[in-house]
Amino acid sequence: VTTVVKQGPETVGELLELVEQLGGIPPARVLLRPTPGQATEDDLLDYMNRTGRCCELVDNVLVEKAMGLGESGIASWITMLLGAYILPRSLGYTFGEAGITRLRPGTVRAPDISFIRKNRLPDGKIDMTPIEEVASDLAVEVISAGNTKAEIERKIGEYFHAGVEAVWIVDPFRRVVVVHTSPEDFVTLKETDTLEGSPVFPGLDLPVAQIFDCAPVVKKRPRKRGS
Amino acid sequence: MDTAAELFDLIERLGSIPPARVLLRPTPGEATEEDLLEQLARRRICELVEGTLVEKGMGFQESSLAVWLGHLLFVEIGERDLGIVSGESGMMRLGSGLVRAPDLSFTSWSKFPDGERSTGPIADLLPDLAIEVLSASNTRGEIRRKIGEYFHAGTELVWIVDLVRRVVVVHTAPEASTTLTEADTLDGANVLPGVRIPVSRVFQKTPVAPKPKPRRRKGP
Repeated sequence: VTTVVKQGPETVGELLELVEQLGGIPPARVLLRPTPGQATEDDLLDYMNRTGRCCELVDNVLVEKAMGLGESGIASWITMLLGAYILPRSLGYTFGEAGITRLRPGTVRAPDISFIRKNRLPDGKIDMTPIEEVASDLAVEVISAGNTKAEIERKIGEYFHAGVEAVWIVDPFRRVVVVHTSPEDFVTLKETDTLEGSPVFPGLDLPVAQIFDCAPVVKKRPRKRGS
Repeated sequence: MDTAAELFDLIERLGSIPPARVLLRPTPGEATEEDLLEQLARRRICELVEGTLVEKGMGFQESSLAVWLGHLLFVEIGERDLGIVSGESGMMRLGSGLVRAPDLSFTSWSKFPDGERSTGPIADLLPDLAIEVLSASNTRGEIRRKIGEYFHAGTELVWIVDLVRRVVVVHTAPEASTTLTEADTLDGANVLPGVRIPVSRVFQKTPVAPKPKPRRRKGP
């Protein structure tokens, strides 16, 4: 797979349009070096190694992940809950928020949790390459205050396009889990509902309330734009 | 500059100019005079402000008026060998990381170091008279900043030509200005002694623009 280096924006005006296309994300998360549109996978790895921050590459633009302690904790909690299903079945492996995966040339995303079935990995073991090339079977995103709706929608589209089977959007603010089986097909599960798990974890039957057991009730998430 | 958020502050400092005029390569804050010349070689006329390449707001009418005004200046200067007149790509180093190209400028020979009359592609010259012809993409804040820069660098006289209002605003200091209408006459003052150009002559070849929409006033 070769990395296609696109031309990218030439003026600040074009960059602001691009930020809009990325889902109107806070511009503070869009990195200016290397020049947006010209960043490569090596730049992504270099940035993550240098700063220790999680970052994604979107159409050759480096975009910092919106992260926080709370989201990270919730993601870990969900991983533990999933462990009860995955481990006895020896089904596969989960990756955390630095699990960067190439979705297409020039686009490398890191879901907060990704799960890959063992039988899809070489020798059934975790790949030690810096960037995962096998699209995950399940991608889970825990919504952060810095995420925009359009950004998440765009991400969901990219995941399914890359071959991901199911995407869960965990919203600790609304305390719901939106289960996507395609960009358009989804069900919104409340705390009174149960996460059934198919197609990736059939028979999981995880109560949504258990997912949010770990999370305090928080007020409507602050929306900040242009900062 | 590290993230796109900082660009918002930059745009504001530049006088809230259209973001389409601010180039992204090299990264704002890191552009050099070489980068400026590279753009010029590609026929893109930029200025260098805060280490950032900013495209000049230009248009055919503005350019044409500048040439005409240059002609009128030369007619008035006559055979006197006073200095040099430069046009819209006549780039001048006003400070470190600051290169501006007035639409028209006059610099007396006395400003040239050691009596040399030649300059590099970017002149190390401070214009005695700087003239800007307003174009649609110029903002008030941008022009205010530019005027401040010229006077800070040592310019004595700045003329701001407004094609739409058909006036020339004459600055003798950033805050000291007189607005001349077509009934008035431009004066070269100490910079170009004896040079007098009626404002009506300046706009002689400019068709009267359709009346601009009245500006909405801010606040009470």
